[in-house]
Formats: sequence, structure tokens, C-alpha cells
Amino acid sequence: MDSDDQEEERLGAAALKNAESIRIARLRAERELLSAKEALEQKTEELQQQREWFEVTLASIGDAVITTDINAKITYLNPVAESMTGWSSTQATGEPLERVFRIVNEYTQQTLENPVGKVLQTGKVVGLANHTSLIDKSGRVIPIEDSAAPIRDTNGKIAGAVMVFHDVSDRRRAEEALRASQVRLRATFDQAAVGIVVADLNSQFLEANSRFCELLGYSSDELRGLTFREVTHPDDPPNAQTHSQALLTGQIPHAAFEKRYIHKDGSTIWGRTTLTLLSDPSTQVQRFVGTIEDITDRKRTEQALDVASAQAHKVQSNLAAIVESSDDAIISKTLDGVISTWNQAAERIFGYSAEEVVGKPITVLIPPTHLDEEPVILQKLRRGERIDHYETVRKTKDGILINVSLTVSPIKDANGSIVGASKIARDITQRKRAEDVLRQEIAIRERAEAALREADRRKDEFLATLAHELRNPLAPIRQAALIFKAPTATEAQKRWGSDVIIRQVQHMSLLLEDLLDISRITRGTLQLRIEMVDLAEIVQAAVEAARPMIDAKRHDFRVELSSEPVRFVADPLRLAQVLSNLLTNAAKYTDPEGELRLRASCSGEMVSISVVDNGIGLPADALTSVFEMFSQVASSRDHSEGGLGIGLSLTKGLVELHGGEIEARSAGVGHGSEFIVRLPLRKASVPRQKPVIESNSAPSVSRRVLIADDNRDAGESLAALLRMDGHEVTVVHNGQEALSAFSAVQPEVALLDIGMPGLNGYEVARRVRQGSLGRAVTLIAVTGWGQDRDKAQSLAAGFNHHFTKPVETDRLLEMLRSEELCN
Amino acid sequence: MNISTEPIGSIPRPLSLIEAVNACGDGTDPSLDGLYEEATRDTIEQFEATGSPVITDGEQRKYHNFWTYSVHGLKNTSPDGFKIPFAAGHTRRMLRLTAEPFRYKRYADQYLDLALRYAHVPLKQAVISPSALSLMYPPERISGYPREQFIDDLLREHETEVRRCLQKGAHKVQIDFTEGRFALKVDPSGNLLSTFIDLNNLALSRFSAADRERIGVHTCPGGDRDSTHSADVDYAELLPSLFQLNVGNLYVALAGEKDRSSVLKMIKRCLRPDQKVFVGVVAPINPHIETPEEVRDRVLEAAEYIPVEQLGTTDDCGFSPFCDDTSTTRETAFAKIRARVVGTALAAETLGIR
Repeated sequence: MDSDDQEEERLGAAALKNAESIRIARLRAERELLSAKEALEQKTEELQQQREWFEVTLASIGDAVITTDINAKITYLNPVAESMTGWSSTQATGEPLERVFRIVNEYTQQTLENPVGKVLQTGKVVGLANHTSLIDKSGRVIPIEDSAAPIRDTNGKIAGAVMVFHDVSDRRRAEEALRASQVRLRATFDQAAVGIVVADLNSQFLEANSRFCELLGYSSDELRGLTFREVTHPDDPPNAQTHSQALLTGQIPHAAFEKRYIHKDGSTIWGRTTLTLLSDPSTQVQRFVGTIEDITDRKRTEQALDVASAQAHKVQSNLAAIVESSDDAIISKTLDGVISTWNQAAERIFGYSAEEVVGKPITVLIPPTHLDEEPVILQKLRRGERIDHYETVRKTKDGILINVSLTVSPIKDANGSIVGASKIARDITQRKRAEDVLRQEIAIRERAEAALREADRRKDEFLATLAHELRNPLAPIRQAALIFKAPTATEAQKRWGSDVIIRQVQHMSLLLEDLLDISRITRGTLQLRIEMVDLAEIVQAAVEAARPMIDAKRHDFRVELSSEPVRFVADPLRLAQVLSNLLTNAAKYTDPEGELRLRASCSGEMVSISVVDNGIGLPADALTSVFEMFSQVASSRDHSEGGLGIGLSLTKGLVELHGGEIEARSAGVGHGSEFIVRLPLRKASVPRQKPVIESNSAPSVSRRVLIADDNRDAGESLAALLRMDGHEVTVVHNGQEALSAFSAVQPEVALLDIGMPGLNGYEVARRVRQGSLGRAVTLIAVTGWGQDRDKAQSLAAGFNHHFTKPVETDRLLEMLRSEELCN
Repeated sequence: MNISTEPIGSIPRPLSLIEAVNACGDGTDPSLDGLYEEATRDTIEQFEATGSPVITDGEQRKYHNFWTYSVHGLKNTSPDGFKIPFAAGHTRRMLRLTAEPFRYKRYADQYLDLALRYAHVPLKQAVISPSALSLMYPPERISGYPREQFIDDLLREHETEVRRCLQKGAHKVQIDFTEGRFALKVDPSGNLLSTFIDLNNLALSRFSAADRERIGVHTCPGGDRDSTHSADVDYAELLPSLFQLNVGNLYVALAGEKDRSSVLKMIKRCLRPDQKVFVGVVAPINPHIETPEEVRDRVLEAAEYIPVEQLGTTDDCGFSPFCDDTSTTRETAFAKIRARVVGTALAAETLGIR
């Protein structure tokens, strides 16, 4: 074997021997490795547990924790640090600390050195500078406080650093809020509108705000030398001391009371005082804190209010009494129409008691026909409108309808809001009735006045017509008289003249007879000579009287009578007068060669005699007025054909004296007329009946009447009326003349105007009563004054009656006709 | 994403340094510090000029070599340790431990201190595997120092070195495991290889998974003076065991293999999901300077088997594992490195991942 081979063999042997050692070493290493592995696993587990505990602890603490290695590179961030920095632990691990933990000065924003560097250098705990802010990953700025400390290994060698920091934002805000609060508190204290003081337990002032100083007139320094007691009114301390004691003993948390303070100038100030005991928890020092509000004005106002309240209460009581004593129903209701108050008058008027009706709807008082008024009323009330004197109908508890005048006003509260309504209801039922009666009387009077005016007009027209008709025959009479007087008049002329005079006198006689007849009829003095008559004979007499007029106009006249004789009681002359009047009118108011018919028939107990013509006819509104004396229609007819226009009135009067009636019919103007007389078929004499002539009643007596009125027209016109009524009337125009006339005339009735010059009516009456003639005479005051006192004065002066102008002529005439005039 | 590319580690020393070391007789003499520094600075400058995203200090200061640098000068060693024969006919001899305790003379992180002063890109540091140093304990037992104790000390020292390098900020710590393929040569049964794997895994087990992602294992047929000591060992016998190492990065020589596709297939079968394999795309012992296109093609070939996200490129081996190796010039080394870097980029572009 060569040396290289030996060398190689030795190398191999050595290597193989080494192999055994290596194997042994490997086995040992494996055992050690196994042990180490087991120990490592155990340690790892312990470390894992410790890590977990550590991580849980770090995660649980409220502070942020960052750990770094020796090179200031981050090894761990706890969840709080993650949240504050915006970095996750994973992201931050291995990053330089300053990249993750960026800090600046809170005010200057200047970058600050993180403490870890110093910790790693010095191995000592380092705190951050004050007013440090952390800028997180997103740029958010967070004020923080922190400290850093070294992490040492088991050998005490620095292995890294741990930094603990926390967000002090809340504390900063709290500090800022506290500062702001203190500033506000101070400002509030200094600028408060009420006085604020701080005092020690001996009530000595320690601090006072400007308002308190102003209230009492002291400076704050002066006040510090004073106590509550020294500025309190001498009569008030006991009250304040009691409260202080109660506060000190904890019986009450605070005290509030009103007391008087003494101003520096000696005047009195009322103050509402609130006292509180404050304790400083850190020093246990107690202080009184009081607020004082100047209530001097209020106190004065309260006193004034007390007085005013008493007065108001009195007024209210008076008002309540007024409401209750009012004759009018005073009712209040809600805007829904529910009754809320009800006075005594309401009880009396409507019959409901307050208990029965308060709370009920107002509609209980309203009849069904007027229920629609209430919504309208309520609507107006809601608009704030007032309803004044609204006349309507309401219903009582008994169902009786009454007339009421309502005044409804909205009720407003202190804010001006409408909260209800006040209704005043006045029962005007009697007044309504009186008004109705008055309206009726006025209507009657107006009709009477109209009739009087019409009668007056007709009278004037009649007088004019009378004058005209009387003048007409006078002219030929005069002329005939002149002919007679004329020396050259022939016998024939004289005979013509005599005929004319006889004819015209006859005509005038007829006129006068008619006038007298109508007067007699009016006065009820015309007497019928009743006897059994034959209708045919009456007709014949009437025809003969009217024949001249009929033949003059060549009318076709026929009489149509029953063949059976018709006999009844009547005044033959007057009845013939009636029929001849009708025939004459028919002939007069029918054109020549007209047709006239007289028919008579019996029906039951009546006989009807009609005169029919085809003349000018009558308008419908004249079919009744044609029978009136002085009627326009009659006048117009008579004027055209001559006559006074009283014929038909006389005819009607005569017919009615017979107990019959007369009727006019016509188809209208130009269509002829028919006049129908109906008479009772009496077989025996009947008592005379008073004819009914409108506007006047036939007087039963004729009086001697004295009229005294300084108004000549008034006196004369009244006299004319009375004279027409058949009375003998004397008119004077002053009081003295009246006294003189009393002696001359010895009137039965004296109508004295009150307001006469010289002696007035009252004086005349008194003097008359004092005279011998004054007892029997009926004195009637005629005056424009109609009040009760005027009437009373008249009675006191001696008048029997009191008439207010214009005189109610009907009543006066009735009174004059009355047998018991003086009553 | 990109295709990572890293060097293995050693760069031929400047001739001036080699001459100075030879003249001094002890490469660890402090008088050579200035030359070492200059060599390191220049190496880093030229390394960065290649566009390498990861560089090394070129192991300018490792003396004598990648294997013994950590124990060179130990008083309890003798230079008559095991010999490693190379195909070129020369041998390299290891040190032999003569007495307890086994301790590193120096840790590789001291090289990082110097390199970090000049580097502008990530630095990678290569360290020797514990399995290689395990061969220092002689076949016969050292009195009072059981083999087990030696192994413990060895593992601790290795761990210390790796940790120091990691803590200094080494981009990667590469464990040179060229003895792996050699172990199969010595013991075709594979038992020796298994012990090496076990020992290295024992060492690796002391590191966390995160650390292991920064730790890699380099294996190659062992290059020295353009020759190898175990290129004749089939990768098929090594690779399955190699990928059992609990490490995140494996640097596997491939450019010099006759049947790269077979090796790639094997790598594909053995590669674990948590591992990245850097395949050699330039052969330091081949004087031909690969073109970027050649490198590109080799990368694309590898990408046919290895998922791109688990694929990286490297050099088959260091350009001068032994400090006195002048078989390759510095220029050639940097040219090949540049080709690797550019070619890897071209491949990435072709694959559409850049």
C-alpha cells in the first residue's frame, strides 16, 4: 500500500471514528434539542399565555401603548394606539416610530421629538412636553399626554421602549368648558340684574356684585365691612335669621323670603331674597350665597293693587248685583252656544231656573222657526261682531213665544281672544203689542185722515159744484127778472120770463130738496112714510118723472115687470124717487137712442129692481165709490150732465132707509151700467134704520160747541167738521175771547187749545170751572202735548178730556154724540 | 424578481501580495496588513465594477487557504495532518490537532471588518465547514481530550464564527463543503459523507430558520491550480445527501460537469421547497472566459429544470482557494465574474422576469 493509500486509509479511519463521536454528539444534540424543544414549547406556551395576557391587558387599558425595539422601530400597537394613530399594529410594526407617532406642539404646531429616542439613549423614563398633540394617519389632531420608559431584557439591557399615552381631548374640553363656565359665572355675577352676595356664616359680606351695591348705595368695599343684619330693616331680622339657621342645620336646601333693606341714604328697599348655603368640597368652607331682587316697585304696586282689588271687588259685586237686578235677561254662553250664566231676569222671562238651563244649549230658548238665527249669531260673535237690538222671537219654558230684543256681545279674555258671548234679552212682547196696536191705530187714523181729506176734497168740490149749480139757474132768473123789469118787455117775454123763473126755481128747489134730503139722511132725521105699495105703481111714477129725459134722448126704454103684482111696505114717493133717479142717470149717461131697461123680480124675501143701460159705463174701481157723496166719479158724471153728484148717494141712503141695498155693475167704461136695488118684501111697517154713510155716523144730539184756538185754520176747520155733523159751533181765537164766549154761548162742550196767547187753555179751564157755568160744561183740551204729565196737567186744570193734535175726529164726534159726554 | 447571482469567494491575490507573503513566510504577519488592505480594496473595487450585486472580499486575507485560515497558527496543531490529493498530482496538507482544546485562531468576521470599509454592495463571507475541520483530530485519541469534546468545541467555534459574520451584516455566510464529494472518494459507502452531513446539520441546527436563510453551503470537486480533488465522484452520489443539509442556499458547481442536464435533473429531484440552488455557470479552472451568451444559455438550461424562484447562479468554485494559486489571473477571474453577471441578466430578460 502506498503512502497516499495509507494516508487515505488513515483519513478514512479518523473520519469514521469521528463519525461515532458525531453520532454521539448528534444524539446528544437531538436529546438536547428535544428537551429544548419541550422547554421551548412550554416556554412558548407560557410566553403565549403571557403574551395573550399582555395583549388583553394592553387592549383593555384605556391608554394607548406602543412598543419599539432598540432601533425605535415599532414592535407593537395596542388597539387604543391603533385607534389614535390610525395605524394597525400590523402596518406599524417595523416602521420607525416617528412615522407612526407624529407629535406637534398643540399651539405652535411645531414638530416635537418623540420621547423614545431619549429613553433609548438614557434608559430613563421620559414624559412628553405639555400641550402635545398627536397627528394620526388621517391628519386628525389629538391632544395627548404620555410617558415613555425603556424595556429591558433579563440582563437589564435596553431592548426597546414602551410609550403609553392617552387622549386628553375630553379633559381639554372639560378644562375649556370649566374656564368658560368660570368666565360666564363671573360675568353673570358681575352683570346680573339682581344683587348677588357671598357672606360667611356670620352673615358678613365677603363679595357683592355691582347690582347689590347699586341697590343699597354702598361700594363693594363698604359692604365688606357690613353684615346682612346691618343693612336689614329693624323689623325684619328675625325672619332672615330663622332662614339662616334652617339652612345651616340642613332643614331646608334654600330659603326665599321678602324683606326690607336699608339704603345707605336711609330709604327702604324691598328685596326678594333667596339664600343658599354652599360648601366647598375641598376645603369644607361654607358660605351663604344670596340673590336679592329689588321688588320695591312691585310692593308698591301690590299695595295699590290690593286697594284696587278691593275696589274692583266692590265694583264686581255691584256689577253682579246690577246683573241680577236687571229687568233684562242677561245670559252668557260659550262659542258653542252653551249657556254658562243665567240671571234672575232670565229666570223670570223664560221660566227656567239657572240650574235647569246652565249647561244647556241656547237653542232651548229658540222656536224651531228661528233656529237658523243661532249659527249666524255665533258666526258673527266669532268674528268679534256685536249684534245690537236684534228683534226676534224666543220661547219660554211653557212654550209661549215672546218677542225679544237681543243685544249679543262677544266676551274676550285677557288676551283678547273671544271665549264666549253675553246676551241681553229684553222682553218686548208688550211693546210689540203696543206697537201693533199703535200701527193699527195709525193705520186707522191714516185711513181716517185720508177719508177726511177725501171728504174735504169732495166737500170742496161739492161746494164748488153747488155754487156752480146754484149760479146756473140764477143767471136765467136774473135775466128773466131783468126782462120783467124792462119797461119794453112784452107779455110774451114776461110770460117766457115767468116760465124761466118758475123752471129754474123748480130746478133749484129740486137741488135744495136733494141737499136737504141728503142732510136729513145724514143726520138721521129723514122719515119714511111707509105704506103698502104696488111695485108697478112705483115704477110708473118713476118712469113719469124720468120720461122727459128718456124721450129727450130718444132712448129705447122698456119696463120688464112680473105679471104678478108685487106688494110690499115702502115709502112710495121715496122709492119712486130712487127709481126715477136711476132712470134719469141711465138716460143722462147713455148716448142718444140708447137702450134702457127697468127690470124687477122677486127672489125669496127680496125684490130686485135693476136699471140697465148701454151708456158710458163705470170703471171697476168706481162701482162702490159712485155711491159716495162728493165722489169724483159721480162728480165727473154730474158735471158733464149737470148736477151736484149727490143723487146716487141720496139714492143709496133712501134704499138703505128701506132696509135694502143698492149695487152698481158695469163691464167697464163704455160698456153700460146696471144698478140693482134690492129691497126686503116686508108686509108690515119696519122701524126706521139708520143709513150707513161712510166717514160719518149720524149724530144723536146736536151740541153747542165752543172752539178756542189761536190757529184760525185749525179752529175753523174743526168747526166746519163739527157743523157738518150737526153741531152748533162757535170759534174764538184766544183765551180771553173764550171766557167771553162762555157767557154768551154757554156751550155744552168747549174745545180749548192749550197754547194760546194771553190766557192759555189751562187758565181758561180753571176760570171756567170756578164760574157758575163751569160745572156742566165738558172741557176738552186740544193740544200737541200728549205726554202723561200733559194729560195729568190738563186734568188738574179742570179738563174732562185731553186730545192730542191732530184731533181724532171720529172719536171726538162719537164723544159729542154720546149722551154721557162728561164721562 | 430577478435571478440571483453570487460569487463563491476567492479571487487570485495580486502577485505583489503573494510575493510579499512568500517573502515573509507567514501570511498572518501584521506587516502585511497594508498589502492585504490594498488587495482587499482593489478586489472590492473591481468586484463592484463587474456589476455584481453581491461580492466578497476575494478572501485576500485568508491564509493560507479557505480550509485552514481559522486554525492557522494554533500552537496545538502540527502541519502533518491529512493530505488532500488533486488530480493535477499535487497535494494539500491539513493541520493536525495535537492537544486540547480546539479553538479557532481567528474568525472570518475579521475579514468583514476590513471589507465593509470599502464595499458598497452586499458582502458575502465564506467560512469553512465543521466537517472539514473535523479531520484535524487524529485517528489516535488525544489524551485528555476525547473526540466528543473536540466535536463539541468544533461545533461551538463554527457557530461562533457564523454568528459573528451574520451579526456583522454579512449578506450570506457560505460554508465551504468541498470535502463532501471527497468523502465519497474516501468512503464510497457514503458513511463518511453521512457523518459530514450529520456534523454540518448539527452545526446548522444551532441557527434559527431566519439565520439559515442567510447561510449557504458550497460544494465542488475542490479546485486548486486548475485541478480538482474529487471531480471523478459522481454528483449522483453526493447531491441527495447534500440537499439534506438544513440550509437555505446551496452553491453547486455545474459549469465543469460533463453532463449538466443529469446533474440538473438530480438537483430538481433533491431540491427542497425552502432551498435555493445557485448553479455554477462559469468554471474558474477553465481558462476560457465564458461569454455572457454562454452563461445565458447555461442559465436558461438550468431554468428548464429548476424553478426560477429557486434558481441562482454562481461560480463553480473560488478562483483562488489557496492563497498561492496563480493559475488564474485576477483579470480572468473578474472577466468570468462579469460574464456571469451579464449572462444571468440576459437569461432573466429572456425569461421575462426582469
